[in-house]
Amino acid sequence: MSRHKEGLLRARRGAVLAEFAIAFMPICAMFLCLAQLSRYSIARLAVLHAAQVTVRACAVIHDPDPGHSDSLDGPDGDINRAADVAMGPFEGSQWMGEIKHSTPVCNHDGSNDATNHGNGGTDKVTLDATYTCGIPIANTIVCGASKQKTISVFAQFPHQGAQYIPKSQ
Amino acid sequence: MSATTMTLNQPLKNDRRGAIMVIGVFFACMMIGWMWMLVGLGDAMIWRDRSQEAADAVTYSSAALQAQAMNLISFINILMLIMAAFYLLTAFIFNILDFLHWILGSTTDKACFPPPGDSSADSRSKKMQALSSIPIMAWLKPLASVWTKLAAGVEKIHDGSTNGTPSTLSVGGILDKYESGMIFLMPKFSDFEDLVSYAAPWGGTVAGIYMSQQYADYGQKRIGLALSASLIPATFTPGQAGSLMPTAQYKACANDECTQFLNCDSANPSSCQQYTGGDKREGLPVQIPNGGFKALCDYIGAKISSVVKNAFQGLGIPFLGTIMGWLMSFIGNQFSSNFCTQNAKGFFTGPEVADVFLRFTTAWTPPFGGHNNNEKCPKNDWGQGGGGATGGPKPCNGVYQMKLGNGKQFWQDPVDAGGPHLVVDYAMNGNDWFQVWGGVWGGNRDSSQAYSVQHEDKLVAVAGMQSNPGGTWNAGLIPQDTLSKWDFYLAQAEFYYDCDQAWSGSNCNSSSNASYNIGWRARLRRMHGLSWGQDLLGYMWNGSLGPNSGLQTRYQQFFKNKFGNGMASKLGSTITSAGLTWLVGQGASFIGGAINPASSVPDFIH
Repeated sequence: MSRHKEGLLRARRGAVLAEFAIAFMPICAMFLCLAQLSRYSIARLAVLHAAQVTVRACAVIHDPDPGHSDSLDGPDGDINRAADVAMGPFEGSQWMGEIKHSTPVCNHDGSNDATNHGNGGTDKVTLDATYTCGIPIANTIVCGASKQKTISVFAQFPHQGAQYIPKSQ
Repeated sequence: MSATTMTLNQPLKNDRRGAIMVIGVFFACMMIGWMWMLVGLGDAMIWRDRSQEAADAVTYSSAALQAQAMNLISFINILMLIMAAFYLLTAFIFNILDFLHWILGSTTDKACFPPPGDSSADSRSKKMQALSSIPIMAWLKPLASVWTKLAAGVEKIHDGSTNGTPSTLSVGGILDKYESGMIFLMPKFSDFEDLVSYAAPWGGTVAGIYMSQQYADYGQKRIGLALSASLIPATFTPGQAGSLMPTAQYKACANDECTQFLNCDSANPSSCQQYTGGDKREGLPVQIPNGGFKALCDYIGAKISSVVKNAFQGLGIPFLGTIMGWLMSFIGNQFSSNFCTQNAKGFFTGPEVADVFLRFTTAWTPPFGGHNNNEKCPKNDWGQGGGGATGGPKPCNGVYQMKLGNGKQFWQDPVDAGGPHLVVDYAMNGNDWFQVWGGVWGGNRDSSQAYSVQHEDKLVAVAGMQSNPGGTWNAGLIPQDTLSKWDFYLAQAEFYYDCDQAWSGSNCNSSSNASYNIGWRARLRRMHGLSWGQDLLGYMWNGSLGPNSGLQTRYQQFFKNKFGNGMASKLGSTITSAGLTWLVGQGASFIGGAINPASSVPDFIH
């Protein structure tokens, strides 16, 4: 072994730089991915919460609501509004502004009762949201080339209906 | 010098070790922060969802218990209805038998004179036999030959041929025992319904409080309360209008206030409406109707009429169903008034029909025989003197006028005897009388602790909106700080009669099917803010209890009473009447507008 080679092997200068260059990138990428996953989890939690709020609204306000002069948005509008309000802080937030939910789909399973308005069965809501991964590097790793993930959650609530018909109908 | 000593002695600026660790610590801190926030958000969402669940549970528990209570009341009403139906059937059969027995006479009231050993039935048979010798009356002969047998048969069914108190196996005996059972059981049923209607709303509130205690987070219990209008009864004397709520109790002509100007005066008594109303609601929106137990007979008549009408309408013949409905309604009313009133005497009440027939068949001579007739009517005819006397049986007309053990009336006495509990007229599905509002507070960690949900809950929204007429959504989200206002969660539930028709329809009205069917249920409803002005004060002011029942009427009548007579003597009654009516109308509008604003607590999605 030549003296030059022996000197290179023994040299300690730059070792930290090399070590840093090798270790930092994976660590940084891992950190960014974890941060991205955290934000994604928060977004998923938000959608789940919104679905739960929405399905309760669906169960409670979907059927006839006599005794109340409903000049507001109307049942469907109010159910959508429930999702909007629950998602509002996240969709309106600067640092969490990466998520957009679609119109919730409220389904009533009337198989347990004779009518579609009876007090029985289950209301189910499927709420979809599109989450755009926003953290560089991690967005591709976590969310793929499209940098977007679709969150689809499902919630259910006992239907709160009544067969009786309001006066107006 | 050891390696360790060397390391420690190296200058810090030349120390390259641990450089990655600094970054690692930074990353780790960041990650802990992210995780902390994630956990906090999850906690905040769970806390809010749990709070809403708790509020739902508190409210729904109360509504469900009240619905169960309404079902229990309906069930007892049905029991009463069955008892009343059996009574009507038995009473009607007895009524017919009693009439026949009266005409045919008794076979057991044999007398020694005249003629010796003849009963009243024998006597009438012989008179008829004699009458049949006249050519134009020959048709009576076959009737005369079976007369005594007929009389014996009827008598056996009527009273068991006892010539005294009816035997147990006769219709009269059954009616006797049955009436005793009715006057014992049915007032007890009514008392139990009183208990249920007063206790159920408070039971619901207690159930709500208990349910709220079951929702504890972070070791902190929630406190919840369910409130409903049914908690406050309008009367504490079942069957009698209470004075807690506004009632116009002076509309009867006999009342002093009714003799005042513009209310009712002696010169114009028709201007004074007989108003015996007032709120008789007992906690739950039920009351004993004025007719007391007579309401059961009324309902049976109405129901039979409805069934017959529908059956005949099904045949497709025009107007047949309607005509049969009217006919059955008329018959039903006759049954109710002839068997279910304080003065009930059954059908064939007047002596005319029986007497004419009797005199005709006995050649217009008084019926002899039966001198030792000792018959007694069931329940001894409630002191009416029916039964038997010299000359044959007498009708038991008083047997339908039942009396309680203390001598008070059974029929049409809602205060002493009670009655079925029917839904009050002003309570309709969906209105505030069937609503329960509930709320919970707490379940969060103490704010002094570092870890409580308020740190992240600003991101967990609560939806609210204004509920003014033509209501609009709040433009922004409601602040979420649990330490300030939104630590309190609300819910609304209702109990309702699950009728598949419009509530205003005849089959769903308050004193009809809703009171006699086990169809009450509970459900959560969208949270509507209680409109104090429109609902509560409106109830007080406008009077939801029928015409002229609210404070408004009291106010108007106060002014009319105060100034009416004096002004009328100076200005004349016409001018005074018109002037005062206008003035008090203006005042009523002002006061009504002031306390009846179209405002309420905002509605909520949750």
